[in-house]
Amino acid sequence: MKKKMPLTLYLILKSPLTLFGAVLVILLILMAIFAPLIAPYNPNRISLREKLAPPSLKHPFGTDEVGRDLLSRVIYGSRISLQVGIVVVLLAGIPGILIGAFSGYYGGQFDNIIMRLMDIVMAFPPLVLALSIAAALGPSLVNSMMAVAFIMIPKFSRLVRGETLSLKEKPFVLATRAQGGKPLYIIFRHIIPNSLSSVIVLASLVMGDAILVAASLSFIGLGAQPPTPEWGALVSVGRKYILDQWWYATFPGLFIFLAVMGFNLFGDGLRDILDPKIRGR
Amino acid sequence: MEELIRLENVKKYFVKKSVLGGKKVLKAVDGVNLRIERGETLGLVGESGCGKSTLGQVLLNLLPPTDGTIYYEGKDLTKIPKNEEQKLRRKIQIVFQDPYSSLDPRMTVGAILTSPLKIHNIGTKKERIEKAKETLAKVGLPLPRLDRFPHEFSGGQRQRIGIARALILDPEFIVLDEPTSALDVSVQAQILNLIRKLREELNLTYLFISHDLSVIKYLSTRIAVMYLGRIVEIGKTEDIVKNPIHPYTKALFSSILPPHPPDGEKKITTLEGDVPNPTNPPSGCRFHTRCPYAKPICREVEPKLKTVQGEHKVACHLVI
Repeated sequence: MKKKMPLTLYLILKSPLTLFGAVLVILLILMAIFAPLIAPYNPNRISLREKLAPPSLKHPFGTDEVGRDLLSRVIYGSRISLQVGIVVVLLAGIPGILIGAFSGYYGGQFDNIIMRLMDIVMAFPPLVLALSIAAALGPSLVNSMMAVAFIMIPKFSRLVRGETLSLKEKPFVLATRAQGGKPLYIIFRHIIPNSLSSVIVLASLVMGDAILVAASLSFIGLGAQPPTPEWGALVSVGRKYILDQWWYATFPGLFIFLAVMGFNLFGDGLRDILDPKIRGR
Repeated sequence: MEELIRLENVKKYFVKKSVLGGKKVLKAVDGVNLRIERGETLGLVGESGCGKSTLGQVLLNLLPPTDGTIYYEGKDLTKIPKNEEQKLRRKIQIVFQDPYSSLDPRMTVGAILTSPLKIHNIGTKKERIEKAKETLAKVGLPLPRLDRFPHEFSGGQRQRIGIARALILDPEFIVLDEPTSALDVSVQAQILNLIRKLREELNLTYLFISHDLSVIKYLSTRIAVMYLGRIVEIGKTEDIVKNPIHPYTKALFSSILPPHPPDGEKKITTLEGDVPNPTNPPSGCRFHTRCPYAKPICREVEPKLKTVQGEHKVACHLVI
């Protein structure tokens, strides 16, 4: 891996779209970390005298119906979206990886049953399934993250299962088996570490999807609740004013678009770059 | 000589199910009987796809045999209790052909070499690292630090690490599955000499699998020739080399070109055609489709291994 890092970096720099995605992702992360420093106002500061003000130098993105600065709210919103992305990836990734690795390694009937269950989850349109789970759990940010994580589990488990099927026939795994290594040892020592590079690619793609689905849930009212400066929730409230105060829904929406595109471009590019057929042995 | 391993009528079939519900049975190993004595090196030779690697993996209990029994020091490997199997796994080791895929690319050399010791709960962390360094010195790759990754080494060095991994549990018996065929010729010689030296120093027994007769000749005390899942000829190395009897063995030997060609014409028997499909092996003698001397009986009756002289045995109807 040590030797591969500069090559990966080099390939990222040579592919403009991947670079663009990476820059968007990095900007999003910086924005979330330094929100208090960048935001010109407190995102919850109410100033009724300035309500629904159009974009100006004082308020570059305008203000909302109680005069809160939209730029500040959008900047703070990046913290929530990033948090959603990370939590969903962990909540879906860890069980997904374990299910995939065990299912692939043991194979047979066990594998068959697990994979059919995953197929059932995947058969539903993701948003519809997330919607019904979130509705059943009750509207809140945490519940919407759990709902989104649940629908993402099959993505990870299918990927890792595929990797496992090819890894378990590799001589280094056979060697450990021949020396008495138990399945658990092989899964944690060989299979999972060797599937991580493709998992990272998927994680980046899932981040984008998770942000989008979570924002959609908030838009419908099943995710983050209004005073929270969540992008989806901002768009949802701004929708009421879209004809006269276009900026209210537009700027948060633009940021959802940029964040999702950033993670998708970065993930797509990374997948091509990490492809051994392109980089050779 | 003391018997270490005995295979009795070992079979390994792979069943392939097709989408249309049909079943195909690939008979990779089809009724092999073999004895390996302690301290000897048995060379197993045959074309690619004849089942020699499968036989090696069945021997290590990596693949369960479809039929037949494997005895190790008189104990039936196929019916051994779990705790005893774990003990046996220290005594039997394998070295693979491809030094690239046989080492985990995500593990350091130290981790690769100490992991077998960890599996068997041997020693403290410090002792394990000491043992790893000692073993590496034994295989001619002394390293002051073990934190490097496999991709930082050359093919030959990697194969030495692979051999060190097989040696670290102080085994009695090692299956060498084409350990040199993925290496450069110059490196091949070094690795072969190392394998030979280790045999003497550590009193090891080898099953040496290869398709390269000159390599087999150099290392083995006995040679077994395999064709389509069966042993067709077996005997002491000098007997087989000087007096190959089975037409298949003859063809294999005549395909090695001598370094100093003798004067005059030497007749070379070359094999024609490919190895028949093992899902549908020929009836009778499996070699009859390519045998220049085939007779009607060869097509109908499967020949059994018959003793020619001493330990030299051949499965061919033409030998009386």
